[in-house]
Amino acid sequence: MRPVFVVDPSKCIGCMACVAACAIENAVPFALSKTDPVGWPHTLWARTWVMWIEKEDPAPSRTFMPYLCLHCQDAPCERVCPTGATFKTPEGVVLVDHSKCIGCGYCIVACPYGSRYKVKEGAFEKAMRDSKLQDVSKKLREAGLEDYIMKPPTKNKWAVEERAVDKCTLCYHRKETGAWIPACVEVCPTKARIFGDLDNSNDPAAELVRSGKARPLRPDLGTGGLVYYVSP
Amino acid sequence: MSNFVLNDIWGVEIAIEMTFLAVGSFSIVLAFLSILEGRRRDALIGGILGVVFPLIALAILNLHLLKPEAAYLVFTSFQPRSWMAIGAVGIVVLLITSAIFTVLLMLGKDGVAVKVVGLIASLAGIFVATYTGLVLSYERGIPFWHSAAIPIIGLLMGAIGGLSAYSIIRPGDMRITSSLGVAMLLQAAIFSIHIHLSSIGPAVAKYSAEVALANPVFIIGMLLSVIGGLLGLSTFRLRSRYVALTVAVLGLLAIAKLRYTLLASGAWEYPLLR
Repeated sequence: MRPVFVVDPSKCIGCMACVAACAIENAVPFALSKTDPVGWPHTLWARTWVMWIEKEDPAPSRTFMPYLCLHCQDAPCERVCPTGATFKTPEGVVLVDHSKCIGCGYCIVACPYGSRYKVKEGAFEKAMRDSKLQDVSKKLREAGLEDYIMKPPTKNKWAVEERAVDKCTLCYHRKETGAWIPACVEVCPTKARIFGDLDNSNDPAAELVRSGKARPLRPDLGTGGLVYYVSP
Repeated sequence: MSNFVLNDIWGVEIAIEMTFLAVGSFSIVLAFLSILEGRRRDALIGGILGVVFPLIALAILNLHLLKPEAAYLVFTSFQPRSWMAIGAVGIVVLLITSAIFTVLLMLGKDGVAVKVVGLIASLAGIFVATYTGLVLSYERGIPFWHSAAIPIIGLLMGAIGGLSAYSIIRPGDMRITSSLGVAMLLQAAIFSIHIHLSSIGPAVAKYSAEVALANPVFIIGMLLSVIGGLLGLSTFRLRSRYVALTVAVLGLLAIAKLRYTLLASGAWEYPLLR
């Protein structure tokens, strides 16, 4: 299988379901993330994000831009990693072996897409103590809805770890369990994010790439990768 | 909305670490030159600086890591394509050879062995100084750093660091102070050219140049470099120990400030579909 991920920003409505699904699936300490809607994963401490771009001219408009790691073919993050913690799977997915990551930050500096961020020690505990989360938990408890109170996450093999750099894994753990579709793709209500197989001649994502409608985000950087964007 | 994001991953602690590396890297070069001229005391002090300063730099770098206790993985899982891994090996070679050089001098040796070890340590020192620029300039993500000027600035910062240390050790030697002056003026000139080229380069490089120019730390660093450079050159005529010491202090402050500005002004331009 040759995985391919296609983003169509024109279909994105900015609901952020993808961000929430990713946070739940991968134990992202999301309560620590900034609420500022503008930013990149490494400034927001998230694996994926949706930014919006507003224009006044010729008419007021708002467009959305979903973001995630591009899983570069020639990945600068992999090249600069001094310990080999960043590596590529046979399918081309760029992953971080948290046990080997020393947290030097060189990969964050080298990534031209801002797709990585540091998870410091105590991040999960701090996230669970977040005042907004505590307020919501209190209200849920008062309403008798204890089941909906946020609990410490159940981690998958490639979930967030403290004291390491974190990034999107394209939910690679799902591949290992047999049904590989990233959580963000699964929940996207408008199919702004689609995932497929370049080896499958009937795959809609692969067709967008083959037809040239979906292209790499920054061809000038020559990084290539598994993620393509449908041009406006 | 701007899609320019300033680097906040490597900040002031890395600037300090690289300043220590700069001083340590060229102290050993000057120690080697001192032993060639038969000045054992100066060589010994330079050797000690070549051990202590890189050690402090490594300690600062280690504290910056999320997992300091796993730093050994840089050596046991050596990645030859990573400048950081190559640089770490260079620093360790500098440390070990400087230590051997110093111990040999302490034991009263000054023969071929000392000179060979001193030469190897000097080459390691020159590499380490250049590495502080290479580690930034190699990657394309931050165009302000992705420039051939940066390793040259790194090398010059090493020379200024070492010469400043020696100007303090040997304030009466005006060759050192005047060389320091030349290096400081060269640093100011190359940094100015780099800022100019960035300002006519890609939009994000221009943005970085504007950020640097608006930063008082950069202005002070450049002023210190120019004033120190001119003062250093003046020691050709004005043979004053106090001037020599002043130039040395200005040199150390200038490299720390300019290094910090270089790091703090680095910006990514993240792609947006509009």
